[in-house]
Amino acid sequence: MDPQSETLEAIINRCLQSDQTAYAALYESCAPSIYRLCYGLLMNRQDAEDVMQEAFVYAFKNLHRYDSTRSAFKTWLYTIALSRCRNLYRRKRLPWMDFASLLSPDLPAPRSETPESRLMETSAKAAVEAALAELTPRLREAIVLRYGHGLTYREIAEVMGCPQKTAESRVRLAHERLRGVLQPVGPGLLEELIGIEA
Amino acid sequence: MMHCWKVRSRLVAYIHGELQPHERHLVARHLEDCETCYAAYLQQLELTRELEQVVPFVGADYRPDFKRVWAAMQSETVHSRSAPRLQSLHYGLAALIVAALFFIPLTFGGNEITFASPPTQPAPLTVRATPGGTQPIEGTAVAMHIVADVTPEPRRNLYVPLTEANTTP
Ligand SMILES: [Zn+2]
Repeated sequence: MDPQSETLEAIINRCLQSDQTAYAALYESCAPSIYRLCYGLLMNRQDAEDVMQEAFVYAFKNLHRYDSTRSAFKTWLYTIALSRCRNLYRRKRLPWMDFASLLSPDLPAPRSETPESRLMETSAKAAVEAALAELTPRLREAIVLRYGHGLTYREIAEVMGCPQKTAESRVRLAHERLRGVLQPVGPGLLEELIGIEA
Repeated sequence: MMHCWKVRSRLVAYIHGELQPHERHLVARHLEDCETCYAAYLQQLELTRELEQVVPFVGADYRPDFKRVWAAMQSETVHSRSAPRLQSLHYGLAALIVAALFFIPLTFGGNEITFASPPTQPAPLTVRATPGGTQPIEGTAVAMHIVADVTPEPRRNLYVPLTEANTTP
């Protein structure tokens, strides 16, 4: 069956009947966004991969506990991944930037074709990543969930395990911090970065 | 009319479409009239657009590898199945050692088994009657048969059957 045409609920039901292809389909459909979440929070490729794997193993083994009447599957999976990210940065204290990955040639798919625009996007991404890494974990979580995954404040609150007002405050505070870091330089920073890398 | 500070604190939620209709309307009206707040709104809007364009692509170059996760899941399942067996082996060894410590005195001491007990109070002494009466004999070694007035605790059954229930932590 084509995983694209099958609903998530149907895939989960097949998983519960121990169908390995269903697990593969579920993974294929959710892994990219879970990896983006983990990488956005941990800022390190290896850590993100390890945590994502841990989260999926847990989710697969506890799939029977998932209650679709209580939350969306995506939210449930995000909650699992987030708690594992928190465990890791509690252990490591501070996230560090994976600079090698920022400069590696296989950076995200370009949205435009010219090398100049690609370089500019890469630099903008590097600047935003650096700014994200400066945020406290809770503020970074709020921003990544909002902008990286389009969650509403209510969903952010659910995943972060806090009241909706707190989620809103965290998004607002993160905005203030990021504005302080990114906007005083704005496009000027991008030009500067292009100048350095060219 | 909403105060400027109040409007500023609601700007991000306003841009995200997270305000209730009534509050949204109040902010919109304020932005029409207040240039300072409108400038702040434009700044927040610009940042929002930048984040919307960049953050979804952070970590977007990942190629899912289901085999790795599946293998990890299988190995964890095997581990969690074998773990109780290993634990029951540990419990078994411990029980064996306790049993050995308990039964070793039986093999050496014959019938005169004494049980250690906590020294809660001095044990009453009895003095064996001698031909000279019950007076202690001076200058000789004191030969008293001390009988500890101790009742041995009943043996507790140390053997606990190793079932699935008590091997699971
Ligand atoms: Zn104002």
